[in-house]
Amino acid sequence: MARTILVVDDNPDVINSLKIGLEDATQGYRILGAENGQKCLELLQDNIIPDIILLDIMMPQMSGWEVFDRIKNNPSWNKIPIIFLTARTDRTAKNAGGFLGDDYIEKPFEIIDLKNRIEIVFQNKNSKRSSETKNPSKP
Amino acid sequence: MDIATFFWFVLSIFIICLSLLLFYLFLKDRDFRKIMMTLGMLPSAFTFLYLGVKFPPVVQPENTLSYFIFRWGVFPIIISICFILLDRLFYKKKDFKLPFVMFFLFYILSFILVLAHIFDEIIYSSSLIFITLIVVVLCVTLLIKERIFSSWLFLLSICCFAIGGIALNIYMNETEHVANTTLTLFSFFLGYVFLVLIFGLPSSINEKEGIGVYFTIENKLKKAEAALNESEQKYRQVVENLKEGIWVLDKNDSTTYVNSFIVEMLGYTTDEITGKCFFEFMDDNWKKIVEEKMKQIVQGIESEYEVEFFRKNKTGISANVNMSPLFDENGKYIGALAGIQDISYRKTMESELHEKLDKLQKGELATLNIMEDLQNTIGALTIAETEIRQKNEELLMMNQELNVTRAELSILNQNLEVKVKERTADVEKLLKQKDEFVSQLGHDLKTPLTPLNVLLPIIKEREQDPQQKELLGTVYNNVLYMKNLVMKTLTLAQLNSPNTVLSLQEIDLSVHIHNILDMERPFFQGKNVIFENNIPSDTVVQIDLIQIRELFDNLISNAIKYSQNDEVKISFDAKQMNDCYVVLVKDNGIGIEANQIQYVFDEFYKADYSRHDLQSTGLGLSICKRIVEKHGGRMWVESEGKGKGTTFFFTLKSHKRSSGEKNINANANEVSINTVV
Repeated sequence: MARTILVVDDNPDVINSLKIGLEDATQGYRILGAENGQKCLELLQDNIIPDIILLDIMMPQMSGWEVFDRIKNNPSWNKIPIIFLTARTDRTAKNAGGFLGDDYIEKPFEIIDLKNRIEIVFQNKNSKRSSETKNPSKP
Repeated sequence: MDIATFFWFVLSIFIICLSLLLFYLFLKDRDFRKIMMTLGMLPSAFTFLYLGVKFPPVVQPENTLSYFIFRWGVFPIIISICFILLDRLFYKKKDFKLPFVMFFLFYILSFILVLAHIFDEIIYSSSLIFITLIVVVLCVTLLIKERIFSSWLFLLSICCFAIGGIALNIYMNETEHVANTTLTLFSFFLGYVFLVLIFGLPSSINEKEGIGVYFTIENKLKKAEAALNESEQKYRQVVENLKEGIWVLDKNDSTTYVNSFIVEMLGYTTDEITGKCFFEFMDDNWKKIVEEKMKQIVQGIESEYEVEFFRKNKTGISANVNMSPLFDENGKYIGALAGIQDISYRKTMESELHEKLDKLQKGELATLNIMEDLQNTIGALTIAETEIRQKNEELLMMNQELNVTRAELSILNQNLEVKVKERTADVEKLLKQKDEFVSQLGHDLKTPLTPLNVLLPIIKEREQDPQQKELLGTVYNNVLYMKNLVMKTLTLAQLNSPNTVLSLQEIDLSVHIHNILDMERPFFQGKNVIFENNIPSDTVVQIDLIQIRELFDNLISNAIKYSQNDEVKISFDAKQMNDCYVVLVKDNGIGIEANQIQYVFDEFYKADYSRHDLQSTGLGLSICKRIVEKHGGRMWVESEGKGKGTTFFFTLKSHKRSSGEKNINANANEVSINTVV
């Protein structure tokens, strides 16, 4: 089963490079791109639900924080794991990224590094899900 | 009534009148002799009265008071005469108070003796005779010695009394002798007449040796003498107090009198001067001159001259002598009177005057010089004054300008504070902008680096042409360098920013290093790197874990980068100093030359530009230093020289915080640990 990764970044080169890099590094990943938060939300509303979202923080018009907020406040979307992509080095950005999202990665990153983090998030998600599926059977 | 009785009465009355007269005289001139006579006469008057009443008197004594008084009555008059004469002879004070007191004592004593029956007939008579004899002797002595006329009268009267008394005695023992009675009466009467003559005769009879005026004249003389005395005293005082010397000489030129002025002037006592020759008080030269002058004086010519006397203390004293001759009534020269003035003061004054005149003359010259100088000075002053005036005007102008400037300044000053605040705010704003700019630049660089970083390795992998592949490798390396540079710049900017706050926690440095090395080790696989952790356990320090990790990363990567041998050896150590630890990181690398040591911490400094490799940004040590300083420590480096390795030192604060703060930090660190992992 091919996994869908949604990359939200205002720089289309980042999206393109990630498409090539991630497809090259991993097998069977489908990469979707959104050039701003609005487009990301539109995609979601079109019921294209990705398995993971890579979200840039510093974007014009709608910042990554806002997009994150919208996604997490939508019950049908709030289970989508989000990894922040950030160029910010300050501690608050790092802390916030780590707390709020599932992980964060600082630009410029190595593609291997990113791939590893994505894998970790997926594993966590699967273990969670299995525990969740088991839990309802319990009284 | 018997005729004798009548005469006794007449005699008594006569005596009473006489005593009253004397009393009257006493009141007039207060001469005590007169009251003595008065008191002496009155008892005798009683005696004669008794004789008249009890004539003839009983021979046998009767123990009645009147009889005693009768017997006693003749005593006082003789006593009084006796005392007057005694006084005349021996006691010449002429106030008669003492004789009067003596007389009065005898008067009372005799009365008591008679009253007490101590006088029997024989003692009574013999004492009367004895006193009478004394009086006679006194009178005779006075007559011989002083030839006083009144003594005759005293003598006559006492003789009369004596005859009267003898006659009365005989008459009382042998009764009925008319001749005796007559003789008694007559002699007593005559005696009293003589006494009256002494006191009663008018003074006009004989002024000099008068009998009647004996007492009054004497009194007047006494007064005159007192007056004379007084006036003499006065003149003596005047003479003595003169501010001029008076020197009286006799005809032989010896001194008879000098006043106190001379005594003071010469220093001799009066006795030492008196009797001595006038010339003895001057030296021979002066003596000759004065002798010449004295010759003129003897001839009756007054003269005035200056002379120098010799004083007792052998010093000389100048004096002005004004000498005039003295003559007696007959025009015979008897001496000279000299008025002497002390002119030594005048002399000194004169000499002083001369001196002063000299000085004045000299002073005048000096004054002339001074005047000249003054004129010159005044000229200079005038010039100076005009200059000052000009300067003053200039100053006034300047002052006005200054006032304007001052006003401007005060306005500026008022604005200055505001401006400083504004500027400070501006600077702060700029600093913030700079930080923001660097941060922004970093972000803006990091984003385009991402696709380069992602795509270049893939492209390089896909490229089959080894030439192209090599070119791509070069490009990728530069991208990596650029990425590194951007990251470090951002780190440094962050450290410089005051907004960056460390999250300190207490950590055992030895353990922390161990962890770091464990994490670093995979990066150095394939290289021969030996770590030596000598940091003692319990080296607890206050650090920000992430920052310190960065610090050690940099130091380790530096040590590996600048190694010279195949084997890289890095040792860590820490020593406690007061409230901090000094941490040492020592390598066996290429070392640093002495002239470069001071620059190694500068930003973008590279020790060796020829080794312009892509791995060194020139920021690593700057970041290290900033991290240490941010922790409140100090960092420095030592190297023995090229090829001898390098040792980095830095201080970290040991834990000295309260437990409460420690807990808070620990909580904060849990958070950061969570985020890192």
